[in-house]
Order: sequence, then C-alpha cells, then structure tokens
Amino acid sequence: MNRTRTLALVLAAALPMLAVAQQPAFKNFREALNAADQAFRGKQPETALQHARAALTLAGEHSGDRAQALERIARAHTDLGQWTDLIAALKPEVMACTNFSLAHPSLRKGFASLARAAIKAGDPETFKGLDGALAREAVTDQTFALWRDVAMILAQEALDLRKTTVGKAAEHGIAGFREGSSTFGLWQQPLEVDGQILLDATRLAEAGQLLTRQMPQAGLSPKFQFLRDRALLDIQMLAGNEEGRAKAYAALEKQAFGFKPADQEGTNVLEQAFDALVAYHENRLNWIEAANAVKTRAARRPDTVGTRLPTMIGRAAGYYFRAGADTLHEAELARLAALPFSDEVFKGYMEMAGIINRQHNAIHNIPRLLKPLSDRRASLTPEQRHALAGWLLDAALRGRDVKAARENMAELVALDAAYHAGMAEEDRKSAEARERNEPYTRRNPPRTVLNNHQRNRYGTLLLEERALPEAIKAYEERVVYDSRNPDAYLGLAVARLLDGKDQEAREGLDVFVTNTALRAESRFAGRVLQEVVAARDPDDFRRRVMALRPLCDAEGGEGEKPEAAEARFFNWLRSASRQVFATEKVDYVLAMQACSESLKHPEIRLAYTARYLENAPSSAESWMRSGILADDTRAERRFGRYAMFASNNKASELAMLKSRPAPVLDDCEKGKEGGIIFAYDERGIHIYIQFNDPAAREIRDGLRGGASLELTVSPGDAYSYHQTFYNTTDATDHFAYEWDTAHVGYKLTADYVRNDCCQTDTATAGYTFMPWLMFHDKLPGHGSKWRVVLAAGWAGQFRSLGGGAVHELGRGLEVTFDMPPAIAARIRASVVRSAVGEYRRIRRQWENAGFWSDPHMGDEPFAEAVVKPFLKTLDEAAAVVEDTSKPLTQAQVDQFFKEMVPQWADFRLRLDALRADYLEARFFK
Amino acid sequence: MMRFERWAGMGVALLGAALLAHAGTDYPIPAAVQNDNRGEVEACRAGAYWSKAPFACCAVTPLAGVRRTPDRFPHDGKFTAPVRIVAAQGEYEPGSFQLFAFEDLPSVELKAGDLAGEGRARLPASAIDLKVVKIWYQMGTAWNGFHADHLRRLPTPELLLRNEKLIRVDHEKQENYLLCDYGGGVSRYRWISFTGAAVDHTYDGWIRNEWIHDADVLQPVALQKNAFKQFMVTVHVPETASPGVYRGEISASVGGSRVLGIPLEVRVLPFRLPRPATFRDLNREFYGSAFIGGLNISRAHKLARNLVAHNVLNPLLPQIPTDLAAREFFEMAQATGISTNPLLAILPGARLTTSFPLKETDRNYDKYLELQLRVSNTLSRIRTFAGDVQAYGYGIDEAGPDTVRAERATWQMFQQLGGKVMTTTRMHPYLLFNLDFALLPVQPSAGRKLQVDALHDANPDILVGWYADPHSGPENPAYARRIYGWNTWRNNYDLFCQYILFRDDWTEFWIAKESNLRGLMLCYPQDDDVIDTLAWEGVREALDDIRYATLLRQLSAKAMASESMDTVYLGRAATTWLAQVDYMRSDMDTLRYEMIRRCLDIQTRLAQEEK
Repeated sequence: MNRTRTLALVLAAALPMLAVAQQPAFKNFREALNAADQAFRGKQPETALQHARAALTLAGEHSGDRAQALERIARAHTDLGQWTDLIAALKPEVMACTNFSLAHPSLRKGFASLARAAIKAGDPETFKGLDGALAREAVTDQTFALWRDVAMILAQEALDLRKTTVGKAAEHGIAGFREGSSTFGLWQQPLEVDGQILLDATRLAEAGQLLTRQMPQAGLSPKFQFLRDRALLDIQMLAGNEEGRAKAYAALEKQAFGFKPADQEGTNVLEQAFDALVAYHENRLNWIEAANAVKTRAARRPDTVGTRLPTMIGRAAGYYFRAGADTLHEAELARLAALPFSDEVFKGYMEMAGIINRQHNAIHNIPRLLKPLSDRRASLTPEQRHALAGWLLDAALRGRDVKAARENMAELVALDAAYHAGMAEEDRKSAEARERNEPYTRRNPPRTVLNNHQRNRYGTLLLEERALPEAIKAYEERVVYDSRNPDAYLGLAVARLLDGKDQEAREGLDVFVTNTALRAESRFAGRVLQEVVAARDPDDFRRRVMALRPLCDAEGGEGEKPEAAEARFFNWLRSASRQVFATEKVDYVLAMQACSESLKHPEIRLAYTARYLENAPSSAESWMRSGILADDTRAERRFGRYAMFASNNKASELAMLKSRPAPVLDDCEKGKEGGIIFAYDERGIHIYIQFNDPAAREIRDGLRGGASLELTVSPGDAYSYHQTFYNTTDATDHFAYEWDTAHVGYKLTADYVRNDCCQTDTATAGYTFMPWLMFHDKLPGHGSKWRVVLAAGWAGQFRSLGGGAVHELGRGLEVTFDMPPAIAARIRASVVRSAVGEYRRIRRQWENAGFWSDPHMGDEPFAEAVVKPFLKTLDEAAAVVEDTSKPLTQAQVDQFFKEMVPQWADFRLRLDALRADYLEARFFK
Repeated sequence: MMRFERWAGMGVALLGAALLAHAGTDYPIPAAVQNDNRGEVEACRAGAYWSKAPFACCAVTPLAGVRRTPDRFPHDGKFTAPVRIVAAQGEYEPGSFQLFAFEDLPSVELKAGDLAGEGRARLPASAIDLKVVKIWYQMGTAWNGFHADHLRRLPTPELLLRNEKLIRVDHEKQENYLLCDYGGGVSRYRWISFTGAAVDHTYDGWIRNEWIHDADVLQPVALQKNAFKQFMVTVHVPETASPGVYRGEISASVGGSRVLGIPLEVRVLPFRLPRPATFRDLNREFYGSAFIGGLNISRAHKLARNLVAHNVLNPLLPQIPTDLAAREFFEMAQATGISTNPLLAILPGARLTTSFPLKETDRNYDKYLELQLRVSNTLSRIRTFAGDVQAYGYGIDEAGPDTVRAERATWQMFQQLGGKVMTTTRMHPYLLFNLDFALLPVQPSAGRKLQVDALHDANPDILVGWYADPHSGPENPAYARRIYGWNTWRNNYDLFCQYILFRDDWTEFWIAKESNLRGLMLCYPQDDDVIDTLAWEGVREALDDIRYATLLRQLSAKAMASESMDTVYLGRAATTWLAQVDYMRSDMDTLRYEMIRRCLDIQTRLAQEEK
C-alpha cells in the first residue's frame, strides 16, 4: 500500500467523524428530527441526512424513535440516490423486526424503502430476505400493504426498464422560432415512443408471484383475495400488456360476480372490487366500457345494487356523456327521470354531474342536465337544494353568467341563513335546558353552509363584471368571515375605488394595513391604495409611494444583501401596481411604473451619425480591405446580449436593478467582436458588418456555417421597413421576407437590396447595399432619422446591436443623417438618372412598348388614348437625362426629381393607375 | 386644441366623470401641415359637389397600402368624383372616402340611401354598410410586422367601427381605451394600452368578448378641423340584383340638417363569382382558413357569418366529441354557409407518438386504442350529417423529423379509418409522404413554390398551405390582400391557414402569451362576433381576387373550346395573362379591373356565339 493511498483511506475514514463534528448540537431527538424535516423542505438532503443521523443517535434504544430517524435516513439516501448506503443503514433494523403488523409505521415505510433500494442496487439477496421475513407472518392489513408495495416496486422497475428516451428532438428554426417555442403552441414534452426494449417480463412475473406464491395463500380471507386480485390488476395496469390486463381484469370480475358476502367486511370488499372494475376503464379513458361495467353489475348482480340503482344509472349516464354517446346518455337520463323521485334519484343526478364535470369545459351542460331537479326545487330537502344550488352556482361562475350566479347565490345565502338560525335556535334550547339542568338532545338543522370559496368567487365575478354595489357588499361580508385574507380587504378597497367611494376605500384599509399578523407585502399594497386617495396628483402619489420603502426594508433580516432588499421592494411595487391597475386609475399605474423603473439601470440606447463616404466600397471584400471599420468615428461595435433590455418578464427586469451589475454592451470576448458601418454615397446606403471569429477559416473552408444575421432598416417611423436575413457563407437571403407589398411608397426588398459576404482567417463579413431609388419619395435630409436593427449569431454567441430584439426598431440603432445640402443635391441627381434606368428596365421586362397595342393581349383603344401619350412624355423627359452630351443643370435636376422621378421610378404602378381609371370609366359608362 | 369630450348618447349609464364616452382627444397635427392640407383641399373646391359643405370629401382606394392618418393628404383622392364600387352579384365589395372638416364638427351623421339602377332596379340601403376607420396606437412595428417594438407607439388605422366611441384614444398620452359593456346598464372604458409592467406580467386586465358590442349601424362621428377621417362603404350586392349601374348617395347631416350628399355609384356585374379554385388545377377548390382560437364556432353564428362574408369558409374547427356537438356544428354550418368539406381539424388530434408498427408495449398503446375509437366515432358522426367528406385530424405542431416519424402509426390509423391528417411542419423532404395537408411556415414566395410543387408532384391530392411570417397582425390591407391572395394562389398553394384569427385580447402592448410579439389579430373579437379591420377586408378581397381569376379561367376554358379561333385566342390570351402577369408588382385594383374586363369580353363573345 503506497503512502498516498493510505492517506486517502485515513481521510475517508475521518470524513464521517468530521461531518458529525460539524453537526449542530441538538437538545433532543425531536429537535434533530424537525431539523431533518426542515432540511427536506429546503431540498437539502445531505443536511437532512446529517440531522437524521443525529436523531438516530439521540433516539437511543427507543424503537419508535429509531424507526422515525431511519425513515428520514432512508429518504435522504433515496433523494441522493445512495442505494447501497440506504441498505447498510436500514437492513439491520428492518430485518430484525419479527412482527411487521405491530411495528412502527415508520419501520414499515423503511421496509418499502429498503425493498426499492435492493432493486436499485441490484441486491437480490436483500430483496429475497425481506420477502422471506414477511412471509413468516400472517397476512394482515399491515403486512398485505407491504406485500403490495414490494410487488408494485417490482412492477415499476419492469416499467422503468422498458422506458427509453428517444434522443432530444432536433432544434429546427421555423418561422423565426425554435421548435417548442412557436406561436402554434408548445410541444416540449419528451416523445413517448416505446417498444424498443421488450417488456421486462421477468420482473413483471416476479411482481405477480410475490402476491400469488410468496405471500401465504393458505386461509387467505375473501377480503385479501380481493385485495390481492386488485393489486394484480394494478400491476398489469402499471407495467403489463394488453393480454395480462385482460386476464387480471377477468379474474377480478369473475371473483366479484361469484362472491356472496357473508358479512359487512365482505360486502365492503365486493363493493371495492366492483369500483375497481369501473375504475379500470376510467383510467383507460374508455367511457363506454366504464358505463358497461356499471350496467353489467346492475344486471348480473342486482342483489349488490338494491336501492342504489339510480346512482348506477346516473353513473352510466355520466360515462356515456363522456364517451360522446349521446343517444345512450339520453336513454340513461330518461331512465333516471322515469324513476319515482327519491333521495337516491337525486344522488344519481349528482353522480352524473360529478362524472361529467371531470371533463374539461363540460360544466355548461350541468344546468341543462340538472333541470329536472331545478324544476322541483321547491320540494327538495334543504341539503338537496344546497347541493343543487352549489352545482348551478359553480356552472354560473365558470360560465360568467351573472344572472344565474345571483339566483343561486341567493338560494345558498338563504339556506346558509336557515342553517345558522337553526343552530342558534338549538343553542338557545340547549342553553335553556342546561339552565334547567335537564338533558337535551340537539336536533341540528341540515348543514347547508355557504362555503367561503363560493362567496369569494362570487365576489370576484361581480367585481370583474363591474356590478360594484353588489361586489362591495360581497367583499364587506368577506372581510368579516375571511378576516385574515388580504385579498378580501384589497378587493373591497378596489371595488370601492372603482365605485368612486375613495374615502371609504381608504378608511376601510386602516385596520388592515396596521395588522402585522397579515402579510407585509399585502399591507404595503393596501398602503399604496390609501396613497391613491391621499395624493394630490400622480406626482405626489409617486413621491408618497417611494416614501413607503422603509416598510419594505423593515422586512429584511440582518445582513440582508442590498440586491435582495431592492428586489423585494421592486416586487412589492409591482404587486401593488396590480392593485392600482385594478382600480382603473391609469395615471397612478403609470406613476407606479415610474417608481419601479427608478430602481432599474437606465437602458443604453445607441445613436449613430451616418456620414457621406465618397465612392463607398461596393463589396464585402473591398470594405474589409479598406480598413474603414477601424475608424472609430464611423464604426459602432456595441453589441449586447440579444433582447437584454426587453423586460418581457420579471426575471429580466430584476436583472436590471441598480443593485445588480449595470448592463454592458460591447463585452464580446477578444477575437469575437462585431462592428457595423452605416454610410452613404450618391448611389445609396452601404452597410458593412464584420464579425471577428477565431474559427473563421472553417467558414471559408465550408466546414461550418458563417454568421447568421438579420438586418432591418427603417427609413423613418411613418414608412415600412425592409429586412434582409442571410448568412455570411453565401449572402443569399433564402427567407426573402417582405413586410409590405408593392405600392406607390414601397418597393420590394428583394428587388433592390443586395448582399455580399467574405471571410478571412479571423473574421467573417457581410455587406448590404440599398439604392436610393428604393427611397426616392422619402430621401433623408440633414438630421433625418432612420432606424437599424441588427441581430446576429456568430462565434457561438447570439447578440444584437444595442441589445434589442429582431424587428424592435425602437431599441435599434438610431441613425441620424449628416447630409450637407450639396451632397443631398448630388443624391437627387443620381436618383434622377437611376429612375430613368428603372423606367427603361421595367419597360424592357414588361414588353410594354407593344403589350397594350397587341390585339389579343392588350387593349388598343387604351394604348392609343392613354399609354402612348404617357410613354411619350416619359421618353421625352428621359431622353434629356440620357443625353450625356448635355449635363443637367441643378434646376433641371430639381424639376425632374419633383415631376418625373415619381413617374419613372414607379412607372408600372403609375401606368396601372391610369389603366384602372380607364377601366373604371368604361364600367360606369 | 379642442377636446372632443362628449356623452356617448348610447343610453348607457356611465359611472363617474372619468367615464365620459368620447372618441378621444384631437389628433395632433402641426399647424403647417394643417395649412398645407387645407390649401390642397381648397384647390379642389371649385366645382366640387361638397363646395358648400362644412367639409370636403374625396373618394379613395379602400385597401391602399398607405396609412391614412388624419394629417396625411390622400394623393390618390378624387375630390370631385363619386365613390365607386364594382362588384359581382352576391359579392361584398368595399369603397372608401375621406372627409376633411373645415371646422370642428362634433357630430356628423352619415346615412346611405337606396341606390337606383335602370328602370325600377334598386340596391337597398340595407345592402350598404358604413364604417369609420379608427386610428389608434399600436406598437412601432404596426402596419408591417407582428414582432414587438414596445418603445414606439404609432397612430395606426385599423378597426372598422360603427361606433367610433367604442375606442377612446388619448393622442396626447398615446393611450387606448375600450368601451366595455358589462350589462345591466353599466359601461366603462378600460385602459388597454398598458404594458406588462402595469400588471407585473400577469393576465390581469383580461377582456371578455361578452363585454364588447359595436353598434349595428354607423353612429354619428366627430370631425376634427383640418384633419382627414376615412370611412369604408361595403356593399353586399344581392345575388338577384340586375346588372348595371346604380346611383345614389350617402347623406351627411349636422345637427339634424342635411349638409351634403356624397355620391355613391355601384356597378353590378353580369355574373356571380364561383368558389375559388387553385392555380394548379381549376377543378380543385382553393380555401381560406385560420385557427379561430378558443371560440366555439358552433355557437357563434355571427362569427361564422362574418367568416363566410370574408370568404373564409374553412376555418380550423372545434372537435365534435358528442352527437349533440356534431348536430350543433352541422346545423350552424347549414345556417351560416360554413363549408363542410373539407372539415379541417375536426377529428381528434393525430398527435400520438408510437413506434411503427405500433406495439402493445408502447407507452401510448392504450391512448392509441382510445384515440382510434374516438376517431371512428367522429367519422361516423360526420358521415351521418355530411356524408362522405374529407375530415382532418391535427398532428403535432411544428414537429421535428423524429417526431414526425413517430406519428406515422397514428396517421396511418386515421387514414385507414377514412380520415385525413394535417399538421404544421417545415419542409421535411422525405417525411411528409403520408401527410394529407402540409401547413408550411413562412409567406409564399417563388422560392417556396419549389417545395409546394414538390409536394404536389409526389401527391396531387395533398393540400399545401402556409402560415406565419407574417402571423396575423400587420394592419396593411394591401399587404393582406396580396399575400393571402395572388401571392398564395400563383405559388400553387391550396390555401392559406393563418395561425390564428385573433389571439391577444385588445392589449397590444402587453401580450401575455408571447411578450416578444404584438397582438396577433386579423380582426377583433366581440360578443359572439368579430369587429372587422382593414387587414380583414384585405383577406376578403384576396379571396375575391382568386374568385375573379377562377371565373376568368372558367370562361377562358369555354372560350378555348370554341370553334372560332378568335374566341379561342381570347381565352388563351386571358389565361396567358393570368399566368404571366407580375402579380407581385402590379397594382391590385388594376389586376382586378383587368380580370373583370377580360371576363366581360369573353362573356360577351360567348353570348354572341350562342346567338
């Protein structure tokens, strides 16, 4: 043994002692056990294990205490997946037990834990030992539960073994989203595809054999025979196959139909067996068979049904409803209605309602189905009226039927009043009897109490539906019976504020806000609502709210970190904001927002000046070679985490609190930086984007994709924006999104925007050119503002310029044009020339010269009357521009720009408009 | 600027001074812009029919791509011409006009009268629906996109209202308010332009459709001095209307006195429009579809009628789990005109994943058997009520290749039972062979047509549709018209099937479901119905464009069967034009008129031949 290994072993041996030495000293067993439970609640199984061990030490020889400590130890080991340790800790104690029926419940739990651990740890000897120990005892309620537990553990194991995890679905970019986060709903569950590993038949068979062979069968009472067979069905349900299930079901069914109970216990187990048969189908969502199981029982064993036939019919009606078998459902309903009315018939309807209500969105059927009961409401007993009104109120509340809710609430209130009056009367009689020293047997009235949740939901509905006087009344009652519930006070205040009863709202909160037994955050919201009333105006309100911060800080413990205190105040403000929002006081909500915003770092917004660049490079490579990106006066490099300022959820807002680190842009790793230049010349806009990437050579070699970028350019708030979406491997915009359609004022992105790309060993770059012709009717001048959004993925990061999101122009780069008048004039002159070119190009594409004159394709009268004169005008003007021997004067440029560019640049649409006018005139001639 | 704060006159009890029903504050227009616009309008006064009225009027293109805000002079406006509408028999067709007030007019009443045609022919006033185009604040991406841009609020024309006070707009603070009718005489405005911060990213402030009720007819409107306001005139031509030109007016009154008659002319065409057919095959119907959210269309007859009026006859349907539900659905369909073939998404979801072939040991085996039963029962119900029609079950949304493969046994089960399967999916070239309706993401384009054609080449019976990018949201009616109409049709899709008709309440600035997006709204919900929008009108015209194109192809087919070569050429020229015209860059009204012209020409020629 070498020295190192020796040292390691010594340390390993000492570790448990060190751990014990670090344990807090507990006064007694109970304290240690509580500490362990507390650690479990805090999801700290290691700490819990320490405390549980301490508890075991403190338990001494007391078997019950030892069992409880061991139960915690087992749980901790289970949470930590330490199966061998669990076995080592529990086995001696569990195996030493000689009477499980009388053992402490915790020890029996330990038995199950040990069985599971033995399976998990692959320790069949321990598992068999447990079975052997159990088999020595007679079957009792307690020992059967253990037999059942170990059998189910085996069955679960069989199931676990055949579960396979199909590889995580590949992420696919769809419609701008990742799979699983699209607007078409989420599909984030793991795939449930099995069948790749054959059923672990051995384990499953062993599970069954535990109950049919190893558990003593001799002299097994009918009760345990039923319980055994139900357990066998459960095992098959959990992990069996269809054949096994059918066999287990048939066995139980056969036993049930053949069994004649001799005593109450037998009657009970038979009832449970029949219930299990129905539940089998229910669990499989096979409603038809569930109904059939009910009906088969009623038909074959009417002796077990007796007066409960209406209940059976109601259940069958409910199951048929859920199966969508309306005809069968209606038939059962008719059977129920045909029976002489009785309490059992009433229960039949209730049974049906219960089953139907378990179906999502079926509640609206309840009033219709219970109408036979509603129609005879006057003759129902108070309990029946109470149950009926409860159902109908629930349906009304969920369906937001205020009228029906009012009616049924009135019924419930009356019944509640009758109950309390009856109880008071009985109290009085009882007291009088006591005074007379006479015995008195109370005859309590039917319990028809109005539930608090019914009151609460009713009040909420009335508030939402703005039935304010009633809502106020409901909440006033609620603060009496639900006086520890902040929602009651706040709801009352909100209702009063909505109803213009501001002072009442404020005064009504006085008791609430000072009751320190109630939640401080809610009381804070109450104070804020009081300030709504007290403040002179929203500004005053804002100051008053911020002055409430000490209330929040007082909740912090000693040594609380500043970020925790600030986050709490932020959360309290937001919570209070929801209350103010509910009062519909808009300016005050905005003031609340200002309060919470004041706790956050201000956003960083990027402003950029676009400057003229004579003969700007016109390819990605030429831009890269130019080195212009090194010019700090032109380059913008502040990329941030994508959507870092979006504040679309609470977490992202909390991350912006001033107590947290300030947001940083331009924090890319060295060698992975990005940069953009937005420049212009006479031809148009040039946008150069470069991303440094240490592995850029791999892009060039085709070993991986380049930077994927989405660039959006808006020529001003009043105009439609353009977007291009490409990868720097080939610069092709495969998405070709258009966010507007061709009309005077918008030219298609795909027709004009050109992209290019290139790579070096250390960088990948893209270049986008947008000709002025696209914007001929909205050319920028000096000081004009455009907006640019650039989001990109490169070098393993996804970032955006300024930390915005795609399309989010408001958080994009605000581009201000620095455009001297002389440059603007040169641009206009350039646009005049390119507009002529556009006109010529469209005419060539469109075969326009001859199209309208064609006797079949065109319309000769139109060609003569409209097209030719129009073309003549355009041609004559174009010829002046095209005559390079006579450069245009500035006056000519200005005139052409104003009068002819709109015609040339949008030639197709202008001629279309003439055509539409021509045809319209013809249609109305 | 003067504020318009007036009583709504709706007979509702308003609670508190803050709840006054009014259409909002004045739209802010710089004085220079007001003067410029006034000058341009005045230049048209001489000889205009409105020359003595307190406001000017101009006919404008109803579904143009320009945001007609109050400060924007309508360069396409015709200040001296009547409002003109050309429509087929039975067609809904919009016209539009803008008013420009010379003074603040708090209450102007507009009312259409009967239109007179030749002889005793009449188009009743009840066939003319007047609405005001409401401008409110939407996110910075409004008009174009559906992604969020929270920091900017842009005045955006969108809603078509009969009661403009349904929405109150505070232009100073850029806030929107919605008039909610809670029943029992209680109506209040609710603030709807709040952000997630106001409600701490919760669903507080959720608005129920039952609270929203637009008026049945156009209510008096307020006109702001030196500002434009747009109105829509939608004519629903009776199917029995005689062809010809009908003339009448929309009378305008101030204070009960008539101040102007706005001339309105409708040309009724001598034909009815067929159901649209696909571009690839004249014998296959083209469908308009969308998911309609959580509403049960079986009980929302007004919604169903609105869909039919907008040519969207094949929405994704609710399932019919019971016989009663089936009866309710098919009775609704019969009453409203909702199509019963195909029935999209009516079958239970086809989204079970299993091994293939199915094994008993599959975890979903039991669910598979239960699903099989439900599908079988649903198909049986469908056959009872509608006969042998195509019914579809919906697979897993936007699934990856592994998932698509794992649905195969389920899809096969549907198909063996006689059902069909649809799902949203990106293009998996080798995996969709057994799909009956592939709903592909992203707007149609020439590039995507290759995918569509490949799917059709493999299986001519497959339906191929598109959704998303854009989702519902962009208000631009021209965009909607082109993208759902010509652009979908010419790229060989069988339908468009947008993700959702309306999803996000009225709260544009706080989208609880996906806060990175705008509200996905093609139209807006109200009690059992929807409120129309410009984009929704664009959808109607998109499908009408395809119906006109279908008619033209049908007539052309007849012409090409003629013995007269001239007639054959007329047909060939028309189909050639349809196949070649640059549908992406041409003006859509012109395309429509050109289709009408060619239909009329061929119809006339065929009639002459018959004689």
